[in-house]
Amino acid sequence: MTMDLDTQMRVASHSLRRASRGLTPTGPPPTRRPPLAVAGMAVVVTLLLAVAGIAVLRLTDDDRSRVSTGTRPDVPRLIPGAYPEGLPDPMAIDLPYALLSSDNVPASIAVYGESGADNPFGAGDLAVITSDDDMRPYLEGSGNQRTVAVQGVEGLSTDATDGSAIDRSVTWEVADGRHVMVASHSLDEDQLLAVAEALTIADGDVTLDAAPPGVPVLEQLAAGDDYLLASLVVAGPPVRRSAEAFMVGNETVDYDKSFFVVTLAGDASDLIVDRWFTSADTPTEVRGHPAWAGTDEGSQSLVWEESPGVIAMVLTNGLTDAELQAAVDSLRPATDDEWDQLPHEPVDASVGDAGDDAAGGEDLVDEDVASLAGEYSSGLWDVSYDLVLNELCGGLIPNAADDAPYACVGSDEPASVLADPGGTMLLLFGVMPDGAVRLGDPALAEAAQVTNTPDGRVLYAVVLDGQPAPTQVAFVDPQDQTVATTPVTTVDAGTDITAEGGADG
Amino acid sequence: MTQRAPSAQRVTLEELYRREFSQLVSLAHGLSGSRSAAEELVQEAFLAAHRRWETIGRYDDPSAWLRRVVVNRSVGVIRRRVAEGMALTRLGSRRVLPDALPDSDERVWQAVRNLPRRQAQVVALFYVDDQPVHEIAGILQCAEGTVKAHLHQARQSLAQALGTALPPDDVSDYCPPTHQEVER
Repeated sequence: MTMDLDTQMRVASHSLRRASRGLTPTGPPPTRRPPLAVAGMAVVVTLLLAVAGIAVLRLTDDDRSRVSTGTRPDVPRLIPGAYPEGLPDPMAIDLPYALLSSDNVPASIAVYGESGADNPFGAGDLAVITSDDDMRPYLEGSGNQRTVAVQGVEGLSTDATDGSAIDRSVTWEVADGRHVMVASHSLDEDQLLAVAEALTIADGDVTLDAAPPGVPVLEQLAAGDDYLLASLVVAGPPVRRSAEAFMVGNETVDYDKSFFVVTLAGDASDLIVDRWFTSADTPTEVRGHPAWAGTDEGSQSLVWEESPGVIAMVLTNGLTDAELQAAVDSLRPATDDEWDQLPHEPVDASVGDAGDDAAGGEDLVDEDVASLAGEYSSGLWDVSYDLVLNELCGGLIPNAADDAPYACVGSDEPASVLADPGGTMLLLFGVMPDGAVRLGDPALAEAAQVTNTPDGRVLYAVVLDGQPAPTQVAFVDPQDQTVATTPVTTVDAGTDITAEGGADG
Repeated sequence: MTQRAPSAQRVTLEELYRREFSQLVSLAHGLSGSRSAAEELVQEAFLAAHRRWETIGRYDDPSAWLRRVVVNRSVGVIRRRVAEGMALTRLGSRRVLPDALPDSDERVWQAVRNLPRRQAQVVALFYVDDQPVHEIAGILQCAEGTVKAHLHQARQSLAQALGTALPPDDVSDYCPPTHQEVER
């Protein structure tokens, strides 16, 4: 018998609830974040800083007294002189891997391709990753998955659709808790399964003696056994446990735009591994260095050897070519003063307190969200300002269309326009600059809905039905004095976070 | 404006933690698709609640605040990866994860995750959390009509994606009853 949708949803929901039923907390709620790998903490702190709105050092060219480096060899802490607009201020992240606890997931990685070729991965690519920890939880939810038989046991085949560094993989457990993953950007599932069957696994060591039939001839180009898998998750490619590494950058709260530059100690083998994980296979040049570029669904990567024994990477999302070029061209080593003044990963208490002060405190009225909603000629619209997530989102719900555009921008954005699928209805929304109480244009002010935000600002939204979007918007104070005039930014419904998952609704 | 409850009736964060934890993990699991990230996302929400409990604890329904944080944080790929990264760093402690879902149910939630973000949130709150429309509107801080519209569009899309039929009495403004309403 075929179930109708409601029945199917209820069955699936029951299944979901049942799956978590045993997760009863055994202790009190968390009052501070447990110690974590620095790489993981770094991104968390990034988000906390974005919420807190902590003022940070603006990078300038004025203070270059001393170049700031690590050691073994000197690893410069690169920073961009031209930091992309629209991003929260950059933060600096020391990646002292010696501090990582034994909880982290060490992995051995071997990368295969065609040696001597301009693009060693052009004819085919392969990575074989082994770990004493289960790597399958990392892959969950990243795309289409199914169980497969591999080497006589059950394995997990994943075709990632979320922009993960690992596109397609097969993962299974071998003896004694050892797990193996074969992964590729170019091989299909059948080819990966053939590779998996062809692997020789003995005493925990995994070797591929020869490419199986139907798989491009691949040679081992790189191998290392002290990588940390956790850094793969949050900071792009894996980095050796012993490597000194630094990261500078930030991302928007809705994740649609990011810029990070990483410098780390690494050899030629690491360079290959990093290139594979970032899909950087197109030759280019960065500040006079031979480099490789990769692009994947809006994300961009650049990898190069900054100096002997030092690898540099730029990992971005949502930047224009011009923004990326300007930022990369402006990279330079930070001075000690600059490095010290950048916000670092202060781990728990200080950041948490700062976040509380900025996000909470006396100014907080009663909720963390201000919202506006209404109808227009052919549907509904809504705008919400979320103090916790530090984001401002606008949405349209046309009656007739399947598509419901929804976009989130930073909570400081004063004027954004979102269009409905038909293109005739526009939603102008934003948070007014401090001191402003209404829009300067009388017609817009008359049509606008406004409300106060929890942190004492004014949220507004205007429906422009059949009218063109203004190119700029003026804001005035109670005495009708202009406080600011700002350009209007057209936001793409693609800024919907779901777009990262390849959804189009 | 959220009404404030008398302080004598205030629920404690610990009570909320014990009462809501597994249900919130279910929500996060469905929306993020990741068992390892789900618990981490919920822990993050409770940590945020702890830091602002003086304010949140005075809300009529602090669990609505927690739900909003969880569903908002569960739909971002990067957020999920961060949570997974943190979960991975703690693999040594062998924390218990939610059970894996049967393939047929996993397919349903994959389809939900392919919906626009707000629609996915509404669906999860409606079906997993059994929240009626007006409560979902309160959680997501939007109008009831907005919730209904999202739910309607989501159900149309899900029926198409899953190749299943809508109930015969489905009309444009139809909202299915929640579990609780059915049981009543």
